Amino acid sequence: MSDWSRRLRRRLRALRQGAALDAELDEEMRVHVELEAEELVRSGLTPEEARRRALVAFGGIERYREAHRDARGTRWLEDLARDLRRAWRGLLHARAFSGAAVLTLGLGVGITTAMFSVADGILLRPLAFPGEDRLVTMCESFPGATAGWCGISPPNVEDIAVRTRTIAAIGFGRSDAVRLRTAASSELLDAGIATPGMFAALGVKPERGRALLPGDVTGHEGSVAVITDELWRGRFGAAADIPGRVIDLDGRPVTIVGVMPPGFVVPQYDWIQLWRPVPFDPRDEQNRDWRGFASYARLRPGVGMAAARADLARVAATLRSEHFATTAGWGVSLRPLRDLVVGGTRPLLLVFMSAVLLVLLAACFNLANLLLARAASRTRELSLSAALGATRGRLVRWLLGEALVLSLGGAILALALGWGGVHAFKLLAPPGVPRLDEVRVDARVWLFALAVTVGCALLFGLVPALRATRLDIADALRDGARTATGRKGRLRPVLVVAELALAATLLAGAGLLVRNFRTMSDWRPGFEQEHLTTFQLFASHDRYADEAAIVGLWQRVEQALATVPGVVSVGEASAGPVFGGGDGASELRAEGARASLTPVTGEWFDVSPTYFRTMGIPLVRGRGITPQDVAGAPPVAVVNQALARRLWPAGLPPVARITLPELKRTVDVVGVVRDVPPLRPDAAPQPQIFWSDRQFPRGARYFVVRSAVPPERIARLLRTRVAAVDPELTPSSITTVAQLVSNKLVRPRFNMLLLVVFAATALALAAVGTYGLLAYLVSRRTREFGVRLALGCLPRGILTGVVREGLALALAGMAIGAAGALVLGRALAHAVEGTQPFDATSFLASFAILAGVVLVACALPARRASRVDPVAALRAE
Amino acid sequence: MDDRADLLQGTLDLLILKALLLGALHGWAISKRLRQLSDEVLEVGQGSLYPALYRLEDRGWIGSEWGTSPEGRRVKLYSITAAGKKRFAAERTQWALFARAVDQVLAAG
Repeated sequence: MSDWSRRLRRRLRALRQGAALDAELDEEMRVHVELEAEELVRSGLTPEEARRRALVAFGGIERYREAHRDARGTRWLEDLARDLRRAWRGLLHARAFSGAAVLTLGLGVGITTAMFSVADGILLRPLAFPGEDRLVTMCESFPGATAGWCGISPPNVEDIAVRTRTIAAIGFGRSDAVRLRTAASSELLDAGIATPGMFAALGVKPERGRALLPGDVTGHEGSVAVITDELWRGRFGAAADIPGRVIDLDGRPVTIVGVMPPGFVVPQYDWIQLWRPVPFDPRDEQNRDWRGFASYARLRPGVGMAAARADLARVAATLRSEHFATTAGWGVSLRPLRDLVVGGTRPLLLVFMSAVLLVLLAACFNLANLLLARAASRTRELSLSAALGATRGRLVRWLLGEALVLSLGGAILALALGWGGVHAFKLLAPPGVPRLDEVRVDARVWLFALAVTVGCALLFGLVPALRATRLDIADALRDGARTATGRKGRLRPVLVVAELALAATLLAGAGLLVRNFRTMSDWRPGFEQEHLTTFQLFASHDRYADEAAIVGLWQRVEQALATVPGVVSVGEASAGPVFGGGDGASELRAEGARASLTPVTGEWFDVSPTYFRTMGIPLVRGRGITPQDVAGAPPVAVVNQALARRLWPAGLPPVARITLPELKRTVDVVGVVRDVPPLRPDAAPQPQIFWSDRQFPRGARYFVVRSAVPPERIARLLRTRVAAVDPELTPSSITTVAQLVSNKLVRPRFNMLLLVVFAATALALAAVGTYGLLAYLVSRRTREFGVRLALGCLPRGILTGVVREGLALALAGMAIGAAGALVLGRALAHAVEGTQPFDATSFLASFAILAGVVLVACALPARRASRVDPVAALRAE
Repeated sequence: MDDRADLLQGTLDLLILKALLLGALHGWAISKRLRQLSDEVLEVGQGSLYPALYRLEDRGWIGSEWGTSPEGRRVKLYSITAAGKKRFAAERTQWALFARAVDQVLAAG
């Protein structure tokens, strides 16, 4: 029997059978005294004298009882249990106070738990790849790259793979839809092309068959494919002959060689279900500028990010001198792969996490206020205990015990709110939130909620406890004594002002988002958004292999759509405002007289002659694209005002020419169209160039149809007409531009609502705190009000006096809150596109709301003050 | 009494172990034995035995058992264990050293 196990067993027994041990000890001591008394009797004393002497000789029984209990080592636990029971009983009596405290704490911690759970699932949890912390991606920087975009070209990846010393495996991939044809059907698959290195880097083993191998990359269209588990089960019914089955992709036979395990997604391309090898030689110099690929690399074991970055910088320098000497600002940077998935949301999530902490702080201040109020009202009770011998430490422990019981109640509420909040978030979150299904409520969340609740309660209960036990006992016990408000009374107003400041900060931030949202929803693009239907069409690579075929196809589709009754005009483009698409930006150089020498980065589009008319974008100079601009005719283009201004600041010359070095294209500018302001409130129109899609055709188009009738009525007909031209052409979801705009507003609306919820919670807490403080102050000054009323003061004067006090608190809160609002505004501007860091109107509006709420919170106490019965007040002592 | 508690506690432990060396005793009997052996010097605070007995049992140096006294009373009998005997020997040496050191200091000029 080892030492500690015996002691542990004795302790457990002492815990469970404390009373029994007490009884045993009592019996032992009783027997001892009896025996001693008997011996003293035998030596000649009377029984009474003997007993008295025996007791004296024995010593202080109570002291030994205590010492015995101390020796058992469970004293502190018994004391704690007793304190908690006492606290529980006391709190049951003061139900209003307990309810308010539990509600406050539960609300604050619940919201915090929900928000942190979400942030944890999205930001902190590692991606589902082995050794995820060693997965990185590489991003090229070049003129015209948009912030947050990350891409790299195949030859660059290959060179990096060969020259770097810190990378174990690297590959790249991108999306590339293909058409799967069976005897019964033909459907467009979400597919992609990749190198075997991508699978090697990600490190996930297929559940069946194999992944791509270096031998699969032949420089031509590949003949193998790897599919996801979802596609295997959904499309192929989990057939056992896969891998090995041959399917028809875009007219070619392709063997499925492997199935990836369930849940396998490639970051950046998480919708892709089928991967084929890249259909070209990755080292082909032609692709040096084609940056439309995402890269995936795994660092060697033991290599840190700093070392990898240094190594990459070295390789990038060699690449720069070899290929990009003339490209200003070219470079390659390294980023953790997780950043690629969540990076965009990180600033916003951090802002929300900070905001929610402010709410929690407000809740804690509220709790402290409540505890202070309660402690102040029990001065007598505490003084009595102190007079009876309780030490200060004992009293503080008792008050903290109450805070602990409250915190447990608050924790239960917080857990319920947290669970509900997380599920509400998952339900209501806008599309595009990464890793949303990885957000869940698990043990870590429970522990977090519990720890925060208890921690806050103890922390914010400590000061009230210390305050309350700083007692002047004689003073407090004296009849009719009222402890002067004096220095004690300053902490509560400070807490209330702090709460108001937090509420003011959050309100101002919410106001900024409200303004941002309203500006976005008031978007005036300069064309009519209603009655404008749009959808995408893809021409199969095999059936329409050459440019003439593609041009012919789109012309036929356009003519077919124009025949639908109610259709006013049909146009197509490679991309457009709101409906998406786009090839990114490219460098544009102007030639000719009066041209600006600095190149401009602009977006390029290929459009049909009817596009601008259909959209309703007017021409401001020259001519648009005409049906005469076909293959063989001189290549022409139309630019928008922004591009014209940048390249020809002095005005468009009669002969104006533009070159795009990356695309090796030169076009003559024949006209200028009006700018379409972007949806983002503070963004300026991008320079844009449009050329004829008959001169530079492509297999994917966005069709826009302007109709005189509501779009829903013609949707089916549009589909039929398209199918009549080619049954394989299935339009992607047919929607209206107005609907697309509305979709784009979902996210800003959600962000706005979330911050509004936080601000409203903080405001409610602050209002309750203000009300509580004022009610308390009024109740203490009843006599003073009675005297003043008796001396002829008007009730209204009293009322305005109280209201003024409340507004003074609000003003102080606003002053501090304004400073906080500036900080929050800056953070929001950084995190949410298009938000202004400061907007006077919305700030003023928020503060007005705060003042209004404080006014309402003052109303009741103020009325009560003005209604004091002077006689009753003066009589009460 | 309190500031000398530690010293007295250690000494009390030593005395209790000594008292139990020759056989099992209950609380009062231990007290009586100690009084006899010390010529009634150690008397005040007989009750201080009981916390000490609990502690010694905790450390495994003595064991306890409920039994019946010759007169028929229900008493808790304490007995020394093997570990307790070893502890007694060690403590006794320590005490001798300590006492001699104190004597030396007091005897010096």
